Amino acid sequence: MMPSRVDRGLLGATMEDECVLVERARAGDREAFAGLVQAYQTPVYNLAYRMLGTAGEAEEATQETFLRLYRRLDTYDAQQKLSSWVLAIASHHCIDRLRRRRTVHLSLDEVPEAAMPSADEAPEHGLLQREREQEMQEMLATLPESYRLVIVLRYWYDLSYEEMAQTLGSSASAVKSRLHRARELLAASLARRSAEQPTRRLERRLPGHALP
Amino acid sequence: MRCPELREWMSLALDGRLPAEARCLLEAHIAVCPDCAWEWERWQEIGALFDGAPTLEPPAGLTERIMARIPARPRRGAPASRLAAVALGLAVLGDLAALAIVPSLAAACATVAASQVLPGALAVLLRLGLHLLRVVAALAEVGWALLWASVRSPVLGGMIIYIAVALAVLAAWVRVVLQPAPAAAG
Repeated sequence: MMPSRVDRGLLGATMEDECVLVERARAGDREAFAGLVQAYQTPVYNLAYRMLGTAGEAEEATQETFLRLYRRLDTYDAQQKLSSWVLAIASHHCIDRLRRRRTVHLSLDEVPEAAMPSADEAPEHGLLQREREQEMQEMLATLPESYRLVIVLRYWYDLSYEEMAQTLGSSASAVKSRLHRARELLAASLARRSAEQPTRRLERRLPGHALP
Repeated sequence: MRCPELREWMSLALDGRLPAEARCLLEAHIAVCPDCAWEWERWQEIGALFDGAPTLEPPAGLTERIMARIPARPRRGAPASRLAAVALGLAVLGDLAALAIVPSLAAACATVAASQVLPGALAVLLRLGLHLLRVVAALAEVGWALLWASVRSPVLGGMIIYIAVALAVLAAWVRVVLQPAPAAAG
């Protein structure tokens, strides 16, 4: 069974409950803040994982995002959707991290550190899934940060141009052109991959086994 | 229509933001332009790859690890609500103090009446007045409670009105209780 996506239902959740949680967390109620963490850790973790590419960094970034969120509770404007605010903080944090590590070289072979879907899938399915997963992460990793972000927000969070613009603090037309450019880059890297693919695919499928 | 513009349309189409007529033009172009057809196919492939991506479960115990890093001391409460809490405390204390001095003031009145410095009728009126004022004070408190409940957030405004009313009632009451003494002296 395919695990469910980070969909609008999860993000949009019950607005009133959320407002109450934010109010209580502001007043110093730790349990209320834990409720917010519970509600948003999956979207934040997924964003961080897609942006950063490793489970370890995704966890660190998720923790940092919630610490920032806690410190900035007083600045939250109830007019804004809570999910947009949370995703904005997470996005900016991920971009910061990527900029900081830009000097550090990461070869593609080092990238995939198991952050696998938790679903109890059949082993063959798992292998296929892992391959897709790796393909996605490698393709995302070829994009510059700001392009990667719009792609993740579009495909994983299904945000509209306007919502993305609000989250990123830019305009809808900037989002539109970034998405367009990101797609061109992805198409190019997809073409490159399929040119190299046949041999790589086979090697990956039979790890440690020599071909007859 | 040239290809670069149509590429923008392709992006809009994938995001469901391309009007129907434009979409027809786009499809017509894709049918005859192999370059754009190739691009369109890749973009759809990418969409299919990402759309099928599963949600990853965060590692177990993440919430606990995050909460462990959240400072244990309480956050600074919102200034307005803290002030309101202090005001409420003062108001309740003031009310209790007023209640505490009622018996002694009543006793004083009784002494004055007993000493027959005042005519008996006046002493009776005085006591009635005392009770009347307590009723007025109670009504003021009920009014305050209703106000506080009906106006959602301005706790502070409600408190200020409450304190003003309570003080005014108390002052009036004290003045009435103390007035007879000079009258008796005369």
